[in-house]
Amino acid sequence: MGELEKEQEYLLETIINAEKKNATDTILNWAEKTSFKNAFSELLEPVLSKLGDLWFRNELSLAQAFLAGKVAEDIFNIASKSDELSLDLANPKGTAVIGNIEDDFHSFGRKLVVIFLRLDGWKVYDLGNDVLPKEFVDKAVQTNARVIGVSAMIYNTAISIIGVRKEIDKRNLTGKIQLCVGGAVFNVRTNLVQEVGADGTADNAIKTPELFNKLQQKSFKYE
Amino acid sequence: MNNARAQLNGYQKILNAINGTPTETTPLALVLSLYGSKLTSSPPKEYYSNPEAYVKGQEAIVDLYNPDIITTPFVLPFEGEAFGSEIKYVAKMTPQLKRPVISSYDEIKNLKTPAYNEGAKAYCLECAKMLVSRYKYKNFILGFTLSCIDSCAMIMGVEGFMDTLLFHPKELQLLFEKTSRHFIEYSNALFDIGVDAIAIPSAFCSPTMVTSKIIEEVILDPLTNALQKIKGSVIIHNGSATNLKFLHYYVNLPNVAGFVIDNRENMDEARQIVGNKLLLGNMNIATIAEKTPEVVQRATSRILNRRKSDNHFVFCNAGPDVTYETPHENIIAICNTVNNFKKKHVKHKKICIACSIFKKELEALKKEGAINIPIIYLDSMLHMKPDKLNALLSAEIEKYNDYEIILAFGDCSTGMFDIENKHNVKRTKGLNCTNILLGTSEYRKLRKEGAFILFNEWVHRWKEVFIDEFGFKKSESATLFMNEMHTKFVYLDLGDAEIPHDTLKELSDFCGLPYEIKSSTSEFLAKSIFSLNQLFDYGR
Ligand code: B12
Repeated sequence: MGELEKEQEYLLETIINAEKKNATDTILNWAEKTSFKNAFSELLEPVLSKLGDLWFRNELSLAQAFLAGKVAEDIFNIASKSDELSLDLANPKGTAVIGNIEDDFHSFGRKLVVIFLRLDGWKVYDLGNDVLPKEFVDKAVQTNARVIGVSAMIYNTAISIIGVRKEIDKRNLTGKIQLCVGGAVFNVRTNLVQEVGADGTADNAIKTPELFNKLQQKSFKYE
Repeated sequence: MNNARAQLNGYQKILNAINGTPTETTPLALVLSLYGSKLTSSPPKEYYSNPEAYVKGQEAIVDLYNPDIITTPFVLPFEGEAFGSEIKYVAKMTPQLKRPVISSYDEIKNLKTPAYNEGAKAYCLECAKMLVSRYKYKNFILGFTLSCIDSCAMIMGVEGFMDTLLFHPKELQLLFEKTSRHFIEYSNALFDIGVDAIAIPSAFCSPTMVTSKIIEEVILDPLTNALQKIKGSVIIHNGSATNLKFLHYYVNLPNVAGFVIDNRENMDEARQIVGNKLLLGNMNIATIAEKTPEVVQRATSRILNRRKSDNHFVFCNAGPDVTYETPHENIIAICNTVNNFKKKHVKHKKICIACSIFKKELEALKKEGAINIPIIYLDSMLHMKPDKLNALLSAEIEKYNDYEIILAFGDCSTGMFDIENKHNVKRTKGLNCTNILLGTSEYRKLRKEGAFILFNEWVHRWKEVFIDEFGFKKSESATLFMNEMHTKFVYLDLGDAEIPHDTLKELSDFCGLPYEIKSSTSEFLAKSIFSLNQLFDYGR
C-alpha cells in the first residue's frame, strides 16, 4: 500500500470513529506536504466518495456524516485564507442558489449540502429557510446561477417546489436554470422528484457536487 | 366489523398481544392522529390547539376504522414548544418546528425546564383526558411523546444537538438532565390520566442518526435512568429510522414493553432480538399514501401472513402519521384485510431430536424459555457408529411422523441427506456439532489453526473416544496420530459446567497436544433452532 492509500484509509477510519482532530490534522499535514488542492482531490475526495457510498447503503450514521461535514468545513475555511486557494475562489466552478422551500425549516440537510458544494469549488448563495419560489429564481437570475437546489423535509412543503418549476418556466429559463431537489421526504417517496418537476436529486450531501456539475453541463446546452 | 372482532374489544386485544394470548385476528394500530383533522375538516391550527376538535377527529377515526389503538396528538415539535421553540401551523400537516429555542451548546446552561402541563402540553394532556373518558377499556390509549434524547432535536435543532452530542459532553449531560425531568413528569402525568402506554419515537437512538459508540457512551445511561422513573409501559417507536441493529440495547431497559419496526427491516430478525416483547409494524406509509387499495391490501396480507403465528404482534404503520393525502379507501383496505385475516392456530406439534452433545445447552435454553418444544436426545457416542445412528434416527423420525421435527445434529449419519429431505424434518445448519455451536466463520478459523475441538461431554468420556473407539491403546500412537493433523486441543467453555482442567491435562498428555480454553455461548445453536421453528411456521 502506498503512502497516499494509507493516509486515505486512516482518514476514513478517523471520521468513522468520530475523531475530528485527527481527521483534520491528517488533511492539513498532507496539504503541507503537497498542496491544498492535492489534499482535496487526492485525499479528501476519495474518502468522501467512500463515505457517500456507505451513507447511501445506510451504513453511515448522520453523526458520522456530520463529523465529515465539520472536518470539510474547517479545512475549507483554513484553505480559503491561503494564497493557494484565494484565486480559485474568485473563479468558482459554478454558481448555485440554495434554500429550503416556503414553510420548510429543516436547515440541517441543506447546510451539509452547502458545505460539500463549497468544498468542490462552487459559489453558493444560501437563502436559508422558508424561501418563496420567486426569491429562488430572482437570486439565480441576479447571480447568473445555473442551478437552483431546493431542500424540503416534509411532503406538504416539498410539493410547493412546483412553484419554483413554474417560475423558471414562466420566465423562459427552462433548461437554462436547472432545478434540483433533495431532503428526507424525497428519499422515502421516489416519485416526488418528477411530481415537483425537478431535473435531478441526490440522496445525500456528499453526492450533491456530482449532481450539480452534471446539471450545470446540461444547462450550458441551452445557451 | 366481523364477529371475531366483536368478541374482544381493542383494549383486550392489545392486552392479549402484550401477554402473548392468541387472538383470532391480528390487533390493528394505525397512527391516525393527523387523519382525524381531515375527516372532520378541522384545520390543523384549530385541531392541534383545541382538545375538543382533536377528540372529535378521533371519534371520527373510531367510527370509521375502529383501530385497536388510539393515540394522543403525534406532534413532536410540541416537545420543543414546551421549552420555548417556535412552531408553525401549516395546512394539511402537523405543526412544524420553525425556530429552536437554542441552537448552540453554550446556551444550554440558560435553558429552563418548563412545567409539564403548560402551552401545547396542556392541550395534549386535555386530549388524553378526554380520550380516556370516552374510550378507556374499549380501545388501548397510547400517548406520544419524545424521550429525553430525541426531544433535544426539537429544542436545539438537529444540527445544534448533533454538535453537542459529538463534541460537548458536559453540556450534553446538563441538557439531558433538563429534558429528562420534563420527559418523566409529562409521561407520568399521561399515566395518571389513564393512558395505557406511551410511545417514544427514537430516531436519535438508531443507527440512522448515531453510532453504537455514542449509544453506549452517552445515550444509554440517561435513557435508562429516565425510563426507570416512568410509571407505565413504554413502546420504542422507530421514529422513521431503521433501528434493528440497535434493538438489543433497548430490550431490557426498564418499562420497555415493545417496539415499532421500520418497513425496510425484517420482522423475523426483530422477533429474535426482542424475545416475547410486543412488536408493532411494519407497513410503509408511502405505500398507504400512494398505491391503489389492491396494492395496499396485498402489502397488508404479506405482513399478516408472515406474522400469523406471532401472538405478540400488532399490525401498524411504521414511521409517523398516515399522511393527510392518503385516500380513505386505502385505510379501509387495511382494516378489512386485517379484520378478515384469521391467525394460524392449528399448529402442528413439534419435537426436537438432538445429539446428547448439545444436552446441557439445549436444556439451559429451554429453561430460559428460548426453546419451548420437547427434546429427545440420542447418545453422542453414536457419532462413531454412523450406521447405527442412522437406524436409530430413522426409527425416531418414523415414530413422530405427524410432528414437525427439528434435528439438532451435524451431518453425522450415513443417511442424513435422505432424512433431512423429508417434508416434516429440518436440520440445524452446520457440518458437525462444533460448526453448529460456533457458526461457520469461527469454526473455519479454528480448523485452519489445526484445532481439535472438545466439548465438556467428550472430555469426560475421552477414554471411550480415544482408547475404546479410536483404538489408541498407548500414548505414543495417539501422539503420532493426533500430531499428524492437529496442533492443539481447544476446549469450548460454554459457561455451563466447570472446566475439567485435570481431565484436560490427562488427555493433553496422552495425545501430546497442548490445550486451550475458548469461551463461547450457545447463541448460534439457539438462533439456528429458532429459525427452523420459524421455517415451519412461515414456510420460508
Ligand atoms: C430524524 C427524524 C426526525 C427527528 C428530527 C427531525 C428534524 N430534522 O427536525 C424527529 C424525531 C424529532 C422528527 C420529527 C418529525 N418528523 Co421526522 N424524520 C426523521 C428522519 C428519520 C431523518 C430526517 C433527518 O433529519 N435526516 C438528516 C438530514 C441531514 O438529512 P436530510 O434532511 O434528508 O438531508 C440530506 C439529503 O436529503 C440531502 N439533501 C437535503 N436537502 C437537499 C437539497 C438538494 C438540492 C439536494 C440535491 C440534496 C439535499 O442531503 C442532506 C444531507 O445528506 C426522517 C426519515 C428518513 N429516514 O429520512 C423522518 C421524516 C423526515 N419525518 C417525518 C415527519 C412527518 C416528522 C414529524 C412531522 C412528525 C410529527 N408528527 O411530529 C416531525 C416534524 C419535526 C419538525 N422538524 O418539524 C417524515 C416526513 C414525510 C412526510 N410525509 O412529509 C419523514 C420523512 C419520515 C417518514 N418516513 O415519513 N423526525
